[in-house]
Amino acid sequence: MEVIEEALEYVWILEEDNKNEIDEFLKNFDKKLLNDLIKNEYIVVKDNKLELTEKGREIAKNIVRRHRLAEFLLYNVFEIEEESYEEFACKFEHIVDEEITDKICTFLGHPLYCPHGRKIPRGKCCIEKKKEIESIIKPLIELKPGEKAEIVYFVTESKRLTDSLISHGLSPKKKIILKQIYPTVIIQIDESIISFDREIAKRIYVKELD
Amino acid sequence: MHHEHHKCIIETGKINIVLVGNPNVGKSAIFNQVSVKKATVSNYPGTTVEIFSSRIKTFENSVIIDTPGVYNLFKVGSEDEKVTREFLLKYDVDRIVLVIDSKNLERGIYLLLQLLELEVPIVVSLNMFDEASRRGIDIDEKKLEEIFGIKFIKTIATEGYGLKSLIDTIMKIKDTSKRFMIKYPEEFETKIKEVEELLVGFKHRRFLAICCLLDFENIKNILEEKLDSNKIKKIEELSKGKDYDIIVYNTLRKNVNRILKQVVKKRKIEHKSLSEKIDSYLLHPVYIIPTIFLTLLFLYYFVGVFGAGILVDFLEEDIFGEKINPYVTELFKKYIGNNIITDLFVGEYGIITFALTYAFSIILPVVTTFFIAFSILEDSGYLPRLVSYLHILFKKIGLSGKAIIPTALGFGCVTMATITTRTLSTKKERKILTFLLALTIPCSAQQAVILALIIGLGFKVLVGWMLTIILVYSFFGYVLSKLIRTEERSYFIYDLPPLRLPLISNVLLKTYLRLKWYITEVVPLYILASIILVLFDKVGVLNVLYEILSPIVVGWLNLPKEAALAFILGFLRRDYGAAGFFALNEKGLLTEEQLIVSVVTITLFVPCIANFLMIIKERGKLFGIVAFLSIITIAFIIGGIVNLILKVI
Repeated sequence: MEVIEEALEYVWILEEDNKNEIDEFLKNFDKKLLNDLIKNEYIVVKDNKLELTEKGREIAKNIVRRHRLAEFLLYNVFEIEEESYEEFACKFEHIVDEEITDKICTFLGHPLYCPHGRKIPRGKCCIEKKKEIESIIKPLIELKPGEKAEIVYFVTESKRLTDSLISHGLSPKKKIILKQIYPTVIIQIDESIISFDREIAKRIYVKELD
Repeated sequence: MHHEHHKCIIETGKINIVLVGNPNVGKSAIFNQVSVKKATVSNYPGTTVEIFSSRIKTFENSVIIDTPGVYNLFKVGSEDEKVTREFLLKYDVDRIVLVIDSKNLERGIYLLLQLLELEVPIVVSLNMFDEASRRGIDIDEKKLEEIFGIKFIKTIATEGYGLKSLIDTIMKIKDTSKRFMIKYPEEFETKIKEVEELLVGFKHRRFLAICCLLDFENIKNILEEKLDSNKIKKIEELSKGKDYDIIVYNTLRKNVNRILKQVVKKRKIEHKSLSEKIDSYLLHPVYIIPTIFLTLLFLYYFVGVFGAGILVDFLEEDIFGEKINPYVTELFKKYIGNNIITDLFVGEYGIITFALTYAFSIILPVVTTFFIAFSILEDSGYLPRLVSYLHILFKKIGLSGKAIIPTALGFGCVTMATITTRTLSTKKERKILTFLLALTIPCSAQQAVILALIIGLGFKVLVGWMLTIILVYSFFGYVLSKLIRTEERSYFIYDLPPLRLPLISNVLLKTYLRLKWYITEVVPLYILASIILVLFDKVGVLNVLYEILSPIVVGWLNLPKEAALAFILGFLRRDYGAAGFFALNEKGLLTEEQLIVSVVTITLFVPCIANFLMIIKERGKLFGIVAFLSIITIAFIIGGIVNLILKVI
């Protein structure tokens, strides 16, 4: 089973990169496995390209999701360097069940991207935005004025925004006090007071401090 | 554009000292204290848009240069940063003084680690250390000196504390060899070396190489000056591939944190300071509202009642009306006789009796009181709080809260305001605001005349006039924000400087500088207008012009044909145009409706010549001409619409 999961995860990534040709797949797995996957209706072949079936997609999605959540947890919360967390994430994806995955996802504030910038597939919990367990990492906008927090990461597609946040002194690990959230967000960071768009505050994820 | 400007600043054979630092750390204050000529000091980020230079009082052989505030020099995010970086790279800078706000040592060190890559001796001014200490932050400058191998001097620029020692230190240092150099991870260092080897003929090769790797697009123009396209291609190739930002940021951050741990001690401060208490009101979304009304009330009484009322009455009637003008007229009649020269100086449109009387008795008091009020608001840190508060409104019309400061300044002088549109973050915003300023904002001179014109018509008309301005401003802002396409996204991140009690000396100094600027812009134009008017009057061109413009003026706007003269004057300055209407009104040629139509049209009418030239300088010829033509059209269209509305009512 583990091999099948690995193979489906690989097809998922190939699809993301638009490289889902058979040859590409065969660079890492053998022909026999490919035939097995087709026989068991995990994938189909169209125009020399591999496509996940609904059944295959479901498995691949879960495995990718677990893998990337694990990466996120290890990198952003435990601050483990890339070389060591990759190995762990690979084991992790096969042993954790859906319930625990959703709990971890909620705990992390339903993150959108893994440390490499790839999309983390959404789970049930993300759609329902579950809150029973308090997320420890959440967007800055969800704090109340007066609360203190530590910046954990930014979710931005724009390098310019990241650059400009960093040059204003906002970077991961920095402690901030939220002063105001409306009409613009105002925070204190060290001795500076900085004001920015609410949009930006949705992209800054923080860990609440007491 | 900046090129020629800088060339004359740097003087070979002298010691050229450049002040560099984050926005709002007191660079300009230091500059003003130590130099012979004074420059504008300001309390909000981004004022130092022009580069100021002067000579240090105590050193004959020196040039001191103030640069726009920067956060990051490896990768520039604003025009200011680009200007400062280019300045440091292109010109023979002999010394750098890095000015750091001691409260924000971290940002300062971040910048220092970048500046140390330049081959220039550096001294650091730990400015505002008193404020830091009041907030419980103690900095060990001896330890800093030990770590960096350069001098750190504690200063309080506004009080002059430590500046002598700062200047003496700058003059003494020459060496750059013993100072701290940051080491980046091996793979990045290798890249730097590879790029450095291609940068033949450049100074500051290591610094430049880092900029190439992080910010190729913005540094290309510097490379093009000395390198052939082949080498530039190679550098571009090297800069691609991996994302080095993260490596550089992480290395810088690790170093900054390591250093801060060694040099900063924090004491616990129990009580909140008064300014923090006031600030909690100003940052509150509801409590700030009364302060806005108080501010408007202050402006109304100080500028409107005191400046435009009491002072104008006194100067216009008592001084010019009763003393100067009758006396001068008498003199001319007696010694020169009744001829064109007498008319030119003391006639109906005379240089003395019209232009100068007008400039000094009506404009001067209003402009002076406005600039005093503006400087107080600016220096206290109140305006930046409004910027943050009103940002969402401005966002709806394609601008950001940052547009408030140029807009407010526009009520003093639109030309000056056009320069400060540089503080906006995107080209699109700068275009929109430049246009809106030229179209809608009446400068204080114009307000003075317009207020005098409509004050008799009652409160309703005054409010209607102001609403029209706001409406046109918002409407065209919205239209332009849809019309101008851009890939650049604007992100609003804005530093709020601490609240401070404005220093009277600073306020007066800034008012003086702005007034001087204003008078030199305005008075020559007034005199020119006087001459043109007298000539037109004598030669009889006026009647011809009346005929030509009659379809618009009489047909569409429903004004008397003489009003064409006011519009012609309006081409020189809008307030002069307004004065033309003022004269018509005095003669009883305008009905109430016509007066309203004239006031609205002339408010929106073309920007004055000085502003037009500034628009061309800042935004380019094409933009200037298109803006000019559209503004005339819009002014007449809206004037006509107001006319139609008034007819219906």
